[in-house]
Amino acid sequence: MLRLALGLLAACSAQPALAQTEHYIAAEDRVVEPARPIAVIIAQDELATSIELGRIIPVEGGLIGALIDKLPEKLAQSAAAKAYTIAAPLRQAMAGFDAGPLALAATEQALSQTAWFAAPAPEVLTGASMAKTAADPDIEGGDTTVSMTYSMGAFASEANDTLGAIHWKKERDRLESGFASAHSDAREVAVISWRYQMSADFTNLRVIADVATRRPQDPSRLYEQQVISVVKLRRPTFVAEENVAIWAANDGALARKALEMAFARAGEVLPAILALDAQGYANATDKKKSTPVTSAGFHGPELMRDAKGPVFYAKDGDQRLRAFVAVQTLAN
Amino acid sequence: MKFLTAVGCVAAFAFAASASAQDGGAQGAADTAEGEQACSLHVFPTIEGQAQNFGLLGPGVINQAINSGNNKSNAEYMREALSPQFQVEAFKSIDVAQAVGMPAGTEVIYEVPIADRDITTKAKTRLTDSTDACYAELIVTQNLYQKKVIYGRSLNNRFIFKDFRGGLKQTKMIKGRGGNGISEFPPKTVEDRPAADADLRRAFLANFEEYAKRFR
Repeated sequence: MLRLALGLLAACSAQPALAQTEHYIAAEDRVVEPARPIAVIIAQDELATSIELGRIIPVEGGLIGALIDKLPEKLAQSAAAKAYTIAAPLRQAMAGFDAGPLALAATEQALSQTAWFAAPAPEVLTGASMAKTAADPDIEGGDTTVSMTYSMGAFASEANDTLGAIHWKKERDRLESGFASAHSDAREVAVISWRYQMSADFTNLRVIADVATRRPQDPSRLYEQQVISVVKLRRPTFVAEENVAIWAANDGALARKALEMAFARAGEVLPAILALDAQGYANATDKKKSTPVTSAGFHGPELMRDAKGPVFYAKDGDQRLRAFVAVQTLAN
Repeated sequence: MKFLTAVGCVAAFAFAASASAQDGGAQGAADTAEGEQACSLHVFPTIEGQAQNFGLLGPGVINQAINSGNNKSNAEYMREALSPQFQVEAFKSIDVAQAVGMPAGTEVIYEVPIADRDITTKAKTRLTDSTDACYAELIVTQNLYQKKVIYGRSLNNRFIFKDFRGGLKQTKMIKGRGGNGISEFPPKTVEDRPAADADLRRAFLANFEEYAKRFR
């Protein structure tokens, strides 16, 4: 009941006049003066895991039943703890890995072709969401998840929002809020929030870039877009522990290589996505106008394809997915 | 190491069954091309493992409150017991290509599961990059354990077969299900687990057999 009350309270207290979020930036809105300060946010402190619950039996009893049951949350937290255990060898192999330089390089690569988007010299802001998760007294077992989405449900967090994901969101929001406050005199600011995580089955590694513009005083987005850059093993197995061993071998050589590939690819494709105007975005996301691609568990119309692999638009209402997905394959 | 591209065994005997029971659109071209080119069947297991306990009170809020712990543990165990690895091993123990009407010599390729049901249950296009003319997909879309007071325990599965033979880029989905009773799941002790696993495997294959009857 408390969650219901909090949800209603949040709904009632929402700001009445939020700016509409667009998934493209119209030509006339691209250049602002002064140029947008840009933040590169990395809220996590190590390679994340992820979970995939699939469907869960619909809760009986409607809303009240859902509030009593909390089965999805229980399953999600249990799956997060299991993923944490399975990923231990990879975590050890990747100890000390710093994603900051890769995220910065990818951002600079994107800005080099879209100078209108933001001012040069991005600020790199790093957090420690996983350390904070580990210190959470409610945590039972480990949890290195970050959220696939930081949207919140109508009454509570989404099923996939584990404690790790909740801490990640708080950390990301804290960093962005500080950045916005520091640039309160800017007309707009730009933010790229980077995540890097293993897929739930450890067959691929994903770098996710959430790109946004906003006014410093208003956290609602003027523009937002998501890029998921996937690097998958050419020959994975069905056994998660075996996949972890592949990624972790030789001090995480394949995982490090995949992270380099994934960040770099995101930097390469971001300009093409930022370049979309209203018509371009409509065409790129219309499944009737492009060849559909299915890869790495995503499906949708193709935006572009080169020797490195396809880039396509994927949408999934169940997970609030709405992203451009780039997939590369790494030999193992 | 169990690579996903491991090739499944196919029957030694030639099985030239036509897919006349199918409502897919590849029939005409398939009949003429099958003997001349290699065929492939791409099998997508599911990550799903759903569990549902109905108590004496039937579905409802009270039942949910009473059984939510059981639902969680059963669902978690189901996900492990009927994992993609398990499904693949089960399919490898039968001639899955023959069962869905593919010709002898069909290469069976096991793919990484796709979690998004909007893809597995709605996309009429190919789920791989293959452009082979003789190509088909078999997708597992549901693993559901149910326990009911009157009917007892059962495993229910849903399957989809997509026949792209003839080089089709889109095809119809042949959807179906199977459901069979189980007696050993869930295990009461760790020692009971092998028997429970064997019970699930038997039920899974029986469910597939129910579904696959239409292809004969």
